Amino acid sequence: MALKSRLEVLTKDDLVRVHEATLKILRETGVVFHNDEAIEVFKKHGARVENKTVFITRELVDQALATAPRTFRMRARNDKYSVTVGEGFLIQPNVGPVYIQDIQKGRREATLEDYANIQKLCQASDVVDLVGTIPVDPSDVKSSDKYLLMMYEALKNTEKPVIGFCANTQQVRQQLDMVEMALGKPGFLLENHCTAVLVNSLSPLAYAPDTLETMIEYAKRNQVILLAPCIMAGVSGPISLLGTAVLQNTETIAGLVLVQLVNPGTPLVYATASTSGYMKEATFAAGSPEAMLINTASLQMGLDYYHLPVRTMSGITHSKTVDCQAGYETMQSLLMGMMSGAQMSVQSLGVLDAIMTTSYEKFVIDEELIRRVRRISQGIDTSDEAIAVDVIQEIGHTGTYLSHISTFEKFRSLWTPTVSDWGNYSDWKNAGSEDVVIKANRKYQQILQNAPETLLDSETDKALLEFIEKARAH
Amino acid sequence: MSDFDQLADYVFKGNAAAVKELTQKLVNAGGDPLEIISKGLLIGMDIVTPKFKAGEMYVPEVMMAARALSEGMNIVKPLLTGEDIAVSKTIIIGTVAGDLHDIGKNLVVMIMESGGFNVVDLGVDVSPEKFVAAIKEHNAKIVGLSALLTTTMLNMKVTIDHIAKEGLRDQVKILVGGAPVSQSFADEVGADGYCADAMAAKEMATAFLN
Ligand code: B12
Repeated sequence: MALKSRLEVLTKDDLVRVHEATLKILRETGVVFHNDEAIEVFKKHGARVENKTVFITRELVDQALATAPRTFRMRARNDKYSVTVGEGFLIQPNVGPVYIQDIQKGRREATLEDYANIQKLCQASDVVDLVGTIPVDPSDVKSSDKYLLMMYEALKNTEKPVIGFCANTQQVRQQLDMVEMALGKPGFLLENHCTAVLVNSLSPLAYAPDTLETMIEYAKRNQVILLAPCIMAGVSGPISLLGTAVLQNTETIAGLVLVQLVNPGTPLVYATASTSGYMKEATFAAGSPEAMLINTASLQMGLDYYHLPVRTMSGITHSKTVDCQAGYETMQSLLMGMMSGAQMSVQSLGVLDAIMTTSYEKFVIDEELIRRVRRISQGIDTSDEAIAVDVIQEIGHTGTYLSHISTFEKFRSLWTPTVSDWGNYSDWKNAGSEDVVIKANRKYQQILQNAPETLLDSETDKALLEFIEKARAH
Repeated sequence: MSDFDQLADYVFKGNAAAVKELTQKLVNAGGDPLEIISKGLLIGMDIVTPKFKAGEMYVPEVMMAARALSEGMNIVKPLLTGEDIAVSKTIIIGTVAGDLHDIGKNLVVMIMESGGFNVVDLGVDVSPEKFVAAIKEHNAKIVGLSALLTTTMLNMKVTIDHIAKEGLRDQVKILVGGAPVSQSFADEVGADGYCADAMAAKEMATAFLN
């Protein structure tokens, strides 16, 4: 079935131009790596290094592309939730919002409880494939404990493949150890891809210390790296959308080379998170149609030129509340993301205000948007049965299709909304003229009420809590 | 149009070459440096500010104007005598420890400079000790702290506390900013002001000095 075309903005020749542009920048300008181990790795493999700037050759790039997998399996704690990365349109939780919002309590700083709640919503959701990461940043825990506590809540409330956090070497080791403990099999990580992490380059053309520590640790443990430059065209990248796509590509390829040198074969997802700048304020323009256009160009590179699994940031908006603007900007972004061939999407579950806020209600509404978009991605059935000449002729000029057996057999496969209202006016009015946000509010509370107390067995739970105690004592 | 008006207009339009040329001409003709600044260069920026606020001018235009202004300033500043240079117009700014976000901070620097401030930019990941050392070295009256992460925001408090511990708290006004920072957070950590954008920061800093 699947759609017959993808959204594309570059020709085949353009892909070559972008690649050559990337190689030129890598060779002549280089990329700054703020980490000694990374610098040593590059030196050992013959790259020219000046202070912290690494100049990367075509050979190193080709070599890296040869070892990076095109698709791979990500193992979940409960194997029925394991996924293949590099196909479909996988949904992961948001990364980074500071505030949580709902209609009862308004916008406020998120807490660890909110963090756990979002994990529960993700576990319960039929459209969310991955869990963990930082859908809201808990403000009520010490920053030294934060990563331990977030990982604990993610493991406690979910059993899908879990995403960790960008942090320093020690913190990253701890989170990877916790994932391994929850899987209950020492050494399991080295053989299986069970966890992933989102890292950003320090645009333009640099990588920050913690980012590199995270990338190196994840690579050494054979875990997944979601590498996403987050460039604002005209602010931290060129004003031309193509130029920003080139910069994005260059930073990604530089990171890819490092990861493949550290541990050849480490799965890396070519992720794109750039937007245009909002030039009245020089800020991150989340609701712009141009954001996804930049990423569409990059996705073409990742998919068609490098044959890597690709991810994008889609479903974003600049709106501050769950209003009409939030709806159309979110859908614009999400639909373009899917149509551009993204195999994974982030910031698609309730984000508002340029990723500063996660809304409980919008989470539920966005689940429906994802269902809509996934339905669109399936295209139409073009089989002989579907062409339906026999049925059309049988019904002829007067009959009804409603009671035909072919309808009866298939009608439930037509898409139906889960929060949107498609009923008639008087039913809607009699039920209190409810806005979709109110329905979504009820729904999220219901899901939380029904969420299991814990998904950890008591032994694992105890082991994890002891691990956290020990880590805190250090 | 008088020369001063012309100069202001060049600044407003972001025409750096013309600002440079006209400023030099005025200086060569024996013009008073302070007057060139206050009646010409800064007037240009004064036209920019309300237009920016009204959404008529975009940030790149403001940056061009700021750049044009600094071309003129570079010519006039060396001519100012010690007394003319208001030491109090020095501002120390940096992104706090652990934080590497600098796009917003850099914008604040540019806009502050366009307001006639002497900005000492300490860069990113700046420790409380470095802030204190810079305040002492430059005898600054204003300190700007930038943070974009909820984790590093806490280092704003650490920095402010350190400034107090060193006995400098009464000497400086402290401004904080960055996407997750809010007025209530600023109050909580004992800052003197919070600004949501660079233009507001310039205005608040100017108000502090008056
Ligand atoms: C660009 C960006 C980056 C770039 C930074 C490049 C650079 N050189 O600065 C990169 C990709 C490297 C990056 C990295 C990270 N980022 Co970042 N980043 C952003 C983004 C998209 C835009 C920030 C920006 O530059 N805006 C444009 C400027 C002009 O605006 P501004 O900074 O707000 O500044 C204005 C005002 O705030 C004010 N202001 C700023 N400073 C000051 C100072 C004073 C004194 C005053 C008065 C005013 C003032 O005036 C400015 C101009 O008008 C924001 C999202 C957002 N919505 O803000 C996330 C964001 C800030 N990042 C975030 C995160 C999580 C990270 C990482 C931890 C991600 C990771 N997994 O590694 C790392 C951290 C690295 C580190 N140690 O610092 C989160 C923070 C959330 C949180 N919980 O704290 C955000 C909110 C995005 C998100 N929701 O995930 N990031």
